Amino acid sequence: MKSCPDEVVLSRYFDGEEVGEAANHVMSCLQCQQYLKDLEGLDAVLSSEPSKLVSRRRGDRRWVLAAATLLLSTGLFWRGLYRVSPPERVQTSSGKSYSVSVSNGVLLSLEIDGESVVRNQK
Amino acid sequence: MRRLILVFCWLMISGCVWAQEKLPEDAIILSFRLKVEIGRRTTEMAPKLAVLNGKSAEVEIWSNKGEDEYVKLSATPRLLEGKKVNLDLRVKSRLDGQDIERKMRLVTLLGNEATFEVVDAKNKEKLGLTVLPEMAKKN
Repeated sequence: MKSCPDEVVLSRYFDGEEVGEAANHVMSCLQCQQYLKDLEGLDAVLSSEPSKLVSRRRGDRRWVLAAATLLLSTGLFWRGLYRVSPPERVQTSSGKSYSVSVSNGVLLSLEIDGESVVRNQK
Repeated sequence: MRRLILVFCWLMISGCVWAQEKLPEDAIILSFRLKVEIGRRTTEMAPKLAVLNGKSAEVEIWSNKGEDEYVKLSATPRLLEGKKVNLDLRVKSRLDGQDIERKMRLVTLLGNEATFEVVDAKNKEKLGLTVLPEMAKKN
């Protein structure tokens, strides 16, 4: 076989398929060897790059999620003892109503004029 | 991985909710009894407030009758050696359109009540305050 086999045959050879006499030619032809090397390089790029890109995007997403979680949890923590609560309407047992707000602390209980305060149901 | 992130989120959020519901061990519980007399009006309040050591907390109580009456109480407790506690207190109140404001500094022991009373006969103002400081971890 003097002339080089076409790209289809070379591609089949590259994939390990039976190509008859072409196999002997490829083994002794520098041009065909070079083409096979090109195929090898292309194959490596096609099999590795997309997964790297996808995993990088997934990695970025994970960092965004982790950062969002951290922000959310920090915000929730600071709402604990370090918050300025909005005024809350409360009532005494006799029906008098008041607005109560607390900042930087927790109001555990409250009595006004000897009556305990109950929080209004929202 | 997604499950891991969800579990992580759940742990963080539930941890924060738990932290909100459970007071820190260094929180100081201040049980107040406050009596304000201005003219013929008298009001009594008994707020129980949890504050972190060295932090200032404020509670504001407004009457909803539309009479513009309120009591504001701010407290800064600082733990000292030997179970002593230093309390910086400020009471501001408006009753019958008349304002009263007093700043107090008390040093007392944890678990001991301290009383403060100031009378202004000229302006017919009287302010009485009793406070019991306790550590939250004992509760």
